[in-house]
Amino acid sequence: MRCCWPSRRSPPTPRRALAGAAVAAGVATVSILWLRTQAPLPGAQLAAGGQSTPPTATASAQGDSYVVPRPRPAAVAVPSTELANYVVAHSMFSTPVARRNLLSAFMTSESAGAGTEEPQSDVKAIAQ
Amino acid sequence: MSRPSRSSGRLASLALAWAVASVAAAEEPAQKRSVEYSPTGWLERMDQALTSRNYDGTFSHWQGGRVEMLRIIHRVQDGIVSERLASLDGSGREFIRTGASLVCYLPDRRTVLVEQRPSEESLVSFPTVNDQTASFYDIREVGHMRLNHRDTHVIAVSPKDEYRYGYRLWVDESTAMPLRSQLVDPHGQVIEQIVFASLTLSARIADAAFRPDISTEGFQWLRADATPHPQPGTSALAWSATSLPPGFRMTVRSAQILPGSVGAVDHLVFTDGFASVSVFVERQPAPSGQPPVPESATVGSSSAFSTVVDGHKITAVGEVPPATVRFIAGQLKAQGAAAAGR
Repeated sequence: MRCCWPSRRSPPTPRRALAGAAVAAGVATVSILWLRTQAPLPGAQLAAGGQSTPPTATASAQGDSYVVPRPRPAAVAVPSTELANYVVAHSMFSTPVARRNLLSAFMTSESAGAGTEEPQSDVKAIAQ
Repeated sequence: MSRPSRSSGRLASLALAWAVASVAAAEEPAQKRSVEYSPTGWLERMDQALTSRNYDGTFSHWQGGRVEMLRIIHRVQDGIVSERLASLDGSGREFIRTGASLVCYLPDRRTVLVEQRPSEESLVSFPTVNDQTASFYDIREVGHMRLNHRDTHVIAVSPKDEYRYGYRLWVDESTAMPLRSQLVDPHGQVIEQIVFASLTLSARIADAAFRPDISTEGFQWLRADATPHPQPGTSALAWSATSLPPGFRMTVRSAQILPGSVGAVDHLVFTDGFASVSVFVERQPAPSGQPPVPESATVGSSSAFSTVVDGHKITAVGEVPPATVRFIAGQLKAQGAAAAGR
């Protein structure tokens, strides 16, 4: 069954345009407030993850402005060997079931973390 | 953190389907079915079984859509705990513990990590579930289930906030061994699963079972001393957390040498009785140029986070959500007069 609705469209008027803009601004405000409520746990820091500061673009009355990103700072990388040490050391203090999960994940992880490999010169190696 | 998808769930199921499950506990007297335990009682029995029984089993480990088989052998003989965990496919890594000695074979890196813990720490007391723990988790038995021809009690440990993960555990009625376990995030999504395909509980396990299958010829050995050498710049500082997630408390503070490290590392352990987080503090080499920024890493479902505080690298590692290790690492401060000695 086909059904036709009478067209309600009418030519835009300045009042309609103003109302549309107001609705759009309201939606944007609500979105910003909602995003703020999605912040991480209180007191938690955001992990930079070794990435540089993202460029920020802001709209203003004078037009768009662009902030040049700062140079990438030195990341506090967790070298994979070091991370392995930490995991093994930590496993001794986990509950039995958590310990099994932790070590199993360590056994099956390909890189044991996202860190970079420690330079060999910094490692105290003792050949057997 | 990756979440299980429907297809990866099927993959896990298919990968497990081929394994013929068997639990042989002939030498273990079965508990009477009439014995009733509370959910917390089942957890205590499970911890006791995992740490005190002799067992040899293979299990699948699912995480992030990947399934791998591993073998675990555990023995308590003359008061000495021996344990061997080996990856049967994939990396081929092995972890062997004999008393206070830990050896981790990493054939994919041609490296062996050797850690010798001080003898007084050889018998580590694990965190235990208590009334306080129960106030941060909802611990309940959610049903009985036949799993691999065994009767199991399904225990759900659900966190009451987002600082910790939860568990679903299928605990064997007779042996209290967890035949299946799932790690779930605060929203109830499964992020890691372990299922035993075979499990044998034996009265005796030969020493040969704890020898690695890996030839270590040409491997790099990184060793740690049993006795830490305190450094004024590290262990002399009294590090503590100014604030912790609800329910967490510090249970261990020690200085130790990690394999490959040149100095003592302060090791603090925080736990809520179920989840635990280790924080390692060590001197950070002099910065060059730009100030360092924090960095995150993950090992399976466990999280790690490093930052620098007062010239020291603080690294928190634990089987908790990333935000929790970030929070704890960010709260660590050098306290009192010791800090003035820097």
